Amino acid sequence: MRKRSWLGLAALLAASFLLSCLCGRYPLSPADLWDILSGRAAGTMRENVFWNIRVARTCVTALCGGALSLAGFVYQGLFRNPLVSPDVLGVSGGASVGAICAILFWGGSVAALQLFSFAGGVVTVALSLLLARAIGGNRYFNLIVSGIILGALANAAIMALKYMADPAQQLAVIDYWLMGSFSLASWDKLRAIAPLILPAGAVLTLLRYRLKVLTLGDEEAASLGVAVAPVRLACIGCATVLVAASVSVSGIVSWVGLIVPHLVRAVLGDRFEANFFQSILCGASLLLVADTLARSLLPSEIPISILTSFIGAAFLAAFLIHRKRGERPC
Amino acid sequence: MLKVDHLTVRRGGRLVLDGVGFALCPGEVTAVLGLNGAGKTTLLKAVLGFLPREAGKVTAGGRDLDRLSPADRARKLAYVPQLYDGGFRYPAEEFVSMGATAYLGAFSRPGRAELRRAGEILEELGCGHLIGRPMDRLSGGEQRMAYLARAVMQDADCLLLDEPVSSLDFSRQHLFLERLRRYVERRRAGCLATIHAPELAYAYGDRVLILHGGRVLLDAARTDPDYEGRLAAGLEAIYGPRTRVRFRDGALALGWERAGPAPRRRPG
Repeated sequence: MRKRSWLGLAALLAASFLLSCLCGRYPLSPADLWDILSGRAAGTMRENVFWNIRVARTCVTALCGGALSLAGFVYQGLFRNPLVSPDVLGVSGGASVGAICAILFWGGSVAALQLFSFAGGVVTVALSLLLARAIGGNRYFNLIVSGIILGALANAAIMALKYMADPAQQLAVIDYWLMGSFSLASWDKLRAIAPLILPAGAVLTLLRYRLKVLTLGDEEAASLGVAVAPVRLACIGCATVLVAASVSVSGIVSWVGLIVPHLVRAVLGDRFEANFFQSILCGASLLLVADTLARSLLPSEIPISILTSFIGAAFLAAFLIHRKRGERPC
Repeated sequence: MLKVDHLTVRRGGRLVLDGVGFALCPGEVTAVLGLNGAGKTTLLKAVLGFLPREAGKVTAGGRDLDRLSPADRARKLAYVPQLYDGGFRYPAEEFVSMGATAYLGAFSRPGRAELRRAGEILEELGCGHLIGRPMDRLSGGEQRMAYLARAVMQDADCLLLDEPVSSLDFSRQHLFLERLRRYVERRRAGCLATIHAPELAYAYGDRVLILHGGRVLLDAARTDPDYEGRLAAGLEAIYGPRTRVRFRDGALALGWERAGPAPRRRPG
């Protein structure tokens, strides 16, 4: 049973990866794929599209999907609440402020956008942590309150900046960024985020058991021998890097980080360490499917958050209703 | 063993513990009695280092607890909190295996051996039926047992339990304390348990500590001369003059002098 679920997830990821490589405005057939991989299509448009656009975009999307879901899983564990999103500490809001600043004041070059949104996300989370510290007392409650405060401030800044923006050009760019898209994904972007996402993911993988003990609460974790404060800080830091790095290339992709870990737990069963990896695989697959739909449903690209929000909400509602029916009345 | 000196803790401006001192002996259960708000839970949390101490020193095996790493501290002190409040769902044996955390490397986790050992401990405590069942679906008594099993897994020199039997049924209270005693004696561990019921404290404690107004009102060991008399005086001091303490057949019985006549039995 356990093995089957892993095989299933791996197959799902492979299938969505393949689908994402083949579908799009310039559709490729499996035969094309064979030609490209065997070198028979060398120098053709097909090969160019496949290697330079599709595979790059697919890799970036998969990486971001896995990163966002893992971050959501980690935050849910840290806050001991299975319905927390990776935005609890304001990372998305901060990243948005950074990105909008880059669009308004630095001409919105790709590098500036990426750098500013990443920095905005990380700085906001750092401010949340400092604010929580200044409030003192119960740590988890403070962190959530601080996240809400910083999120609200970021929101105010976003609205103010949008109000200042030139409605003819900048405003549309801003709105498009806030809805997310992988249309600008490239090998360069992969090179920019992979060195952030992979090490952060690796650290979290090493710390996953400590994180599991933390879900029992600070005091119990400490009494079992976990150095609570450093582990928590490391987890928050790495999860923040995951979200900030992915958001910096794609813009805001909503719901994935919240819904995927929850779905994984609900469908594949509550097993902390397994759910850790299942979240990564499932998140990558879900985002690949969403991105494939985003670029093939309509002649022009649909912002990805529209799809992730829709798919996520529909999935969650369907699942909860289904589960309620399955349960015996008590 | 655990030694506490002049422990003073202030919470929200109020002096909750005022120079509390005591020592645990290996293989003995020390029961802490006291009214609600007497500082029993605060005492445990301050000893464990969860609350800032204003003054005082806590040593275990002669070493200052504050200077130990979290893992070393966990090998000295195991803690059984009042309530299970895990937000996630773990099977009981997985929960128990987390007791091994202090013995694992920073990046490792309990493996097959630890899980097997956790299952054995549950079996030894007579709770083999908990294996495979998720913690949040267990009854209060079963959760207590899982906690005891986890503390056994932790194999610490001292065991601190916060109201381990308060929420349990009569028979389960006795079963829990029996098993706790058996473990403490066999492991030669020190044990400090806050207990609400003086009857249970007397029945299962080798030593009774009464906390009152943030101070130690009584620290008496079963082997002390006039143990019963001192215990009775201590209980009357905290529960008030209408308390009647009697010792009958080796058990403590508490009575209360009623204001009015007792409800009469129906004649016939």
